[in-house]
Amino acid sequence: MNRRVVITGIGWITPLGHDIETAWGNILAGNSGVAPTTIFDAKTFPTTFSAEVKDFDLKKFLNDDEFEDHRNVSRQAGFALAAAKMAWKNSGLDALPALDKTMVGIYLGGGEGPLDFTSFAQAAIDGWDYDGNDLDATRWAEVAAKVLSPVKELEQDPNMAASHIGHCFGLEGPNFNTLTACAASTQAIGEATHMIRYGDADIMISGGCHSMIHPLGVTGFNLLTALSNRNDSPTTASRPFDRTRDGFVLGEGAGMLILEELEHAQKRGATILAEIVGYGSTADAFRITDIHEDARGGIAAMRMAIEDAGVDLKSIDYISAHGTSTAENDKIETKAIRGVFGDHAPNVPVSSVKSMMGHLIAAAGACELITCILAIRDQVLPPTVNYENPDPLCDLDYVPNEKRPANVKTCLSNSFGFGGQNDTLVIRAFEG
Amino acid sequence: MSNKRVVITGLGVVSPVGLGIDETFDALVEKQCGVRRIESFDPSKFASQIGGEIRDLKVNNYVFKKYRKSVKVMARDIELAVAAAYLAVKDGGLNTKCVVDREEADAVNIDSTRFGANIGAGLICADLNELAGALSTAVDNPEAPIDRAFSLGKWGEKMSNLTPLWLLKFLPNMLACHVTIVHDCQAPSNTITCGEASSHLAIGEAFRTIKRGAADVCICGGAESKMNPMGLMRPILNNRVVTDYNDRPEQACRPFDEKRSGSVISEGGGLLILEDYEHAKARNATIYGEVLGFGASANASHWRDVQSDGRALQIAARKAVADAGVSFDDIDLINPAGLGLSKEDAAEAAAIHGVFGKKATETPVLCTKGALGNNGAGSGAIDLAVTVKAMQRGVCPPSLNTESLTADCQLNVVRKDPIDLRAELALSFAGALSGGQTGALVLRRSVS
Amino acid sequence: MSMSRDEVFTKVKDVLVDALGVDDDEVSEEATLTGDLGAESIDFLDIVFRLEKTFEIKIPRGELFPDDIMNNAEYVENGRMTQKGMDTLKAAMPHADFSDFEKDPDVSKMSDLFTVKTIVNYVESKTAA
Repeated sequence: MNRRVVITGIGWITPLGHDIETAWGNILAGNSGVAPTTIFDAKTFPTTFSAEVKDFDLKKFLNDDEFEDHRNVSRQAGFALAAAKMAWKNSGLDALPALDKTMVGIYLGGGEGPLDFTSFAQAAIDGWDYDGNDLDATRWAEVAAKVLSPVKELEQDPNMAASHIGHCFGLEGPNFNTLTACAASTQAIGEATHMIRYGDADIMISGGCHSMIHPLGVTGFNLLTALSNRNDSPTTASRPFDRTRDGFVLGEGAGMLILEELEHAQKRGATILAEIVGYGSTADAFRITDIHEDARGGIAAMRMAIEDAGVDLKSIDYISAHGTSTAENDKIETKAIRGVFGDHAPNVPVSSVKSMMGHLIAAAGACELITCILAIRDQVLPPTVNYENPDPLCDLDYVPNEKRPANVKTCLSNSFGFGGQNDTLVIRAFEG
Repeated sequence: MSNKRVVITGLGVVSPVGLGIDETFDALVEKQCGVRRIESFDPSKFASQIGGEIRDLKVNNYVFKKYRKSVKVMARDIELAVAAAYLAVKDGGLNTKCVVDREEADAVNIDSTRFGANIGAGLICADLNELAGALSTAVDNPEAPIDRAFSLGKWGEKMSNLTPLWLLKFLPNMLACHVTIVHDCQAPSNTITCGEASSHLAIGEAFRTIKRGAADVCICGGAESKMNPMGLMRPILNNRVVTDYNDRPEQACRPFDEKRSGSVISEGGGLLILEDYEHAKARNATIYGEVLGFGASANASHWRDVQSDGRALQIAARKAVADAGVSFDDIDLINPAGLGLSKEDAAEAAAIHGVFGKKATETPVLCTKGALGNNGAGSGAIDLAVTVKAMQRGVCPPSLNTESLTADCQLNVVRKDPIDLRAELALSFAGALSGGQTGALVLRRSVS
Repeated sequence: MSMSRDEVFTKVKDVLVDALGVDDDEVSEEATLTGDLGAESIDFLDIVFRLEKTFEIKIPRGELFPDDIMNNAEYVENGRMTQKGMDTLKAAMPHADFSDFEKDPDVSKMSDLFTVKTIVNYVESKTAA
């Protein structure tokens, strides 16, 4: 018998708000979460702005004991805990007295915690032999042993957000973390869906979290020339599919979903937000960052997801694009959608909320899937803002600048990552 | 829903005692130790100065010629994965793109769109020489003889002293990225980052992927290197490594032994070829055995502290055994992580007692860490490959340095000398030291 | 003191051998970086970085490889570079030989503008200044 998987709870911490309705309201209004970077002084960096989560207070999401327990979490694991709490409450599971916790698991696309940069840089400089122009490992060891913090080092491990959530909720089911760059949380949700289908778990908390808005994160992307340099106009910097796009805008946050086996959800009278019907995952196996010019990986992932869903192409009402605002991604993603949908492609609305939220890297896919759920709930499509100059190589309906009322039943969400990771999910309004 | 049987048709291992599964296995049987004083950097001011280094690996030997340029963006972890991948596909008789480009076969014999990858990876440590060299140019007082201060403002301008490709060396999914490019694996690909449990979870996921028919073949396992200053410092800060055996490295890591006092850092990689049984039969592949069951759990008590009863290990083991449709009485070989840590080893022993009952003191236990140390994400796959090989050869290598078991570790750890082994079913498990993610797998020697 | 063209070529060759993992004898002046030497986009960043270090010069973004112009959809029509695009690109790349590309301005052949000679010309102009 096939086990079906539904979504019964959602939660997120994003640059546009710390609860579902605030952030969704901002998205529908076309507001931007992008502004000059404040987490560190980025004035001299090639890119001086980002989409930060502002005024986040983990205390608001945890009780006193929990906060005491988790006070040392990294920035992104804090986002993850808060979003998981929100989703858990949203699902009504907090009110459920008995739950077999060995059948409740976690599958996150969690990023690595930010490096303890100040201490790291100090140790590096003190350990540097300026005369020999080489690292003196002995000097470095003496300084590093003093300045690096055991807790901060431990909390950097990418699996720690999943561990904190597991502890907070007492979950003893499967606990996974994937880190497939920008595709991670879409992949996590897809794999979590399979775990429930197979019977490894009845419920999975799944999603992602990440914050790369730290000196080395921005350095890494700036050196690769991947970020927008529109320092004089941060709010218009993320402009997916616009001809003048010049790179992505780094964001941060977390998105969490409660995935549940259908009968389990029905038995407890849960509100079902949507059903996950399809998942596709492929590797480009082409180049390290260049996407295959025929978009073969993206095409294969979308086809796999649609086939898994068993739906007709024409029933896809909306595509939440990866839409990063880089020259390469937006062009090739358009090609991929054309490759899958053929002549029907221009009829399918496609938008990228990265135009407002920025790129949440490992957390992006989960947050974008949540926008699909809300689009189904409210029968409205989120816009792609900053869309001003059509690009002949991006010739689809990108829902430019204004939200659009629409009949939305089935949505497809794409995430593509460095290293040739392609992941697609298809969700549908639940109809019994 | 399709329900394929999944078999193991290839083993690729790079470890401190050998390149290749046979070299590694033979060395373990011969009681060689890969733990030595660290040579790749000067460890003399570190509390622990020993580890399992791989000293003769040249990654160019494991890629096709046109790919040699990409070696420049490979952190050590990636090199290990790329080497293990080549050894695995060769061992499995898969003529991949790489094998053909190297002119070692005439034609590709696998459908790339049905070839997946699930690879466990760690938090890859930045190359300190490279990063520190660039950071050292961003100081407020460059002329000061000591106490130079880092300047973030200057870094904004001086970052261009760092290679522009810096980030690409350290993304965990770059292990899978390079392996999938080199061998042209276009089916589902994933990167699991769950510490010491990464390999088991990645292999478990590959098992499920093939079982449901989403791929014919998956290359799966993990690789990691802790053999760099940061990789050594992090476990030192968290009191996880032996510090009182610097003069006797070969005796340092002592799984389940009364004198055990910590783990030893290491580097290595293990990748297995998992394959749909019908697919393997159709191409006349050599079949090592079958993956029968998988289970996963997590230490929900605390992300850093050990569960003294090994509760999560027990849950994962029970799930794996149930998934396999066998009972613990049928299992005749056990492979725990056996890191040589006081509490962790005891917890593993408690878990084995918890699930095996009376059989816990009889069933042979295979441990490798005394010889290999702990590399993190790759250790589990190396262990699984050695376990498979032990069943196939009918020999269990001894656990180095396991001499006198503590009262809380009363197990039949194979020690001192190798033993003849008649094992049909093995259980292997591992849990993440930081974080508590746990995976268990049940393997069968033959395919009936 | 400025270097001779031979000296520049030899050093550029070393840079390309290191950056692209190619053999010495594959690096001729006519060799194209993408087609003949297998460069992908990250390699262009790497080559710029290595040239800066080797020749102690500063190469502003887009000066040696003006990807902003090459990726500008405004300059492309039906897969071919427009005259306006061609003029802009030629002005930005005095170090490149446009004779083949002008005959057939198919944008997929644009990368052929990047030959070893293009780099040598560029470095010569930078070091002579």
